[in-house]
Amino acid sequence: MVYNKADFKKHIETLQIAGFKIKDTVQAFLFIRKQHNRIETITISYRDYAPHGFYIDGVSVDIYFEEVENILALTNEKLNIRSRYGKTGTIQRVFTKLPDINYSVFESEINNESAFNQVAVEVEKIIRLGALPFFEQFRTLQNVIEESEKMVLEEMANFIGQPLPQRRMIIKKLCKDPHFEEYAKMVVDFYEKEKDQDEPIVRQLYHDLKTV
Amino acid sequence: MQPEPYGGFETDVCLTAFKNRSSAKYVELKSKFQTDFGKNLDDYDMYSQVQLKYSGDDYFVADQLFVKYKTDALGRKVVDDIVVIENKLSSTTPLTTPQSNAFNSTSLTVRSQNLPSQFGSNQNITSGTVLNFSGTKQWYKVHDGSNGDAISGISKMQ
Repeated sequence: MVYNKADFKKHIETLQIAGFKIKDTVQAFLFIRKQHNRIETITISYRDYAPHGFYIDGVSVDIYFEEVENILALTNEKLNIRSRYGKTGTIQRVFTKLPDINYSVFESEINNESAFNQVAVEVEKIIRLGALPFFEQFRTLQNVIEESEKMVLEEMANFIGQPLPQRRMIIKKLCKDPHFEEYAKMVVDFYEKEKDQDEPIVRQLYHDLKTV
Repeated sequence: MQPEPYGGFETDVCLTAFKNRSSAKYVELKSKFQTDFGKNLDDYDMYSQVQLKYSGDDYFVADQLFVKYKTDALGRKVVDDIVVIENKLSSTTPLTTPQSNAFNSTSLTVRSQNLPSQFGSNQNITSGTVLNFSGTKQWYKVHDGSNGDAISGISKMQ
């Protein structure tokens, strides 16, 4: 039996998520919704063994807050720096341990409609129980900072897109966090002391944020 | 030349073995890695079928990619080390041209959009991530000797 990318895409397109537009990219389908201050994305990652079949590897989400990302992009542009951290939103989450999800279905190869439907049930549950509530919870940067500042650093490092210190500086500034100055100076001092290659970036960012 | 193994050997045999840290083949790989490089594979996350750019837009596919992260005191997380695993149907099956080119490169960048860890951790790896490796090639060939239904050898590539 032959099951190729066109077959898989046709089945993925049956996942109707109200308000989201689908985009096909490298080993993933993105469901994207543009809001007035942010872009919300659901990523369905897969492995491709066409013409034998496909495996869905997982579902993750991110939110791209334009006011944060525009500042970061401008700083990198000034220094002509290409990020080595990979594409990420301002915040993100990977849904690997949601209760009530039968993750074992992701071990199954998708090579026909029936096989797809079995996996799709769990994908839709992750979207309903994980992705959409995440978007609802984090509608503003104030929502983000209230949650992230309660996290331990390791948890925060997986929640805020890397490089975390730069994004955290921006979020603190935009949210008028009273500890912004203290935090920003600490970040700059840390990278200066470490002679870190990111030191010029955080120094420039700190400078840029003074006028925000 | 034998054909490249398709999903069966890669997913049903190799991936299944390596995503289980208790499996005999994972333990064997871990032991070899410890002997060859003095590092602990348990410190690494693992991703499957990762597209990696080695020169411009040229890329190859790593069948399994082990990644170790380093998080500094400010929560900045970077890739600290990698191990590439290639699955072949026999010990004599050569690398493809893209794999050979990648083996000789000094830098790899993730092309895949966003892949979750096969260990079910909350880690993912996203496109554009630059993979650092300390100049040492840590590549292993995992092969079968007959029909792709079992791992019969794991060898360090040089």
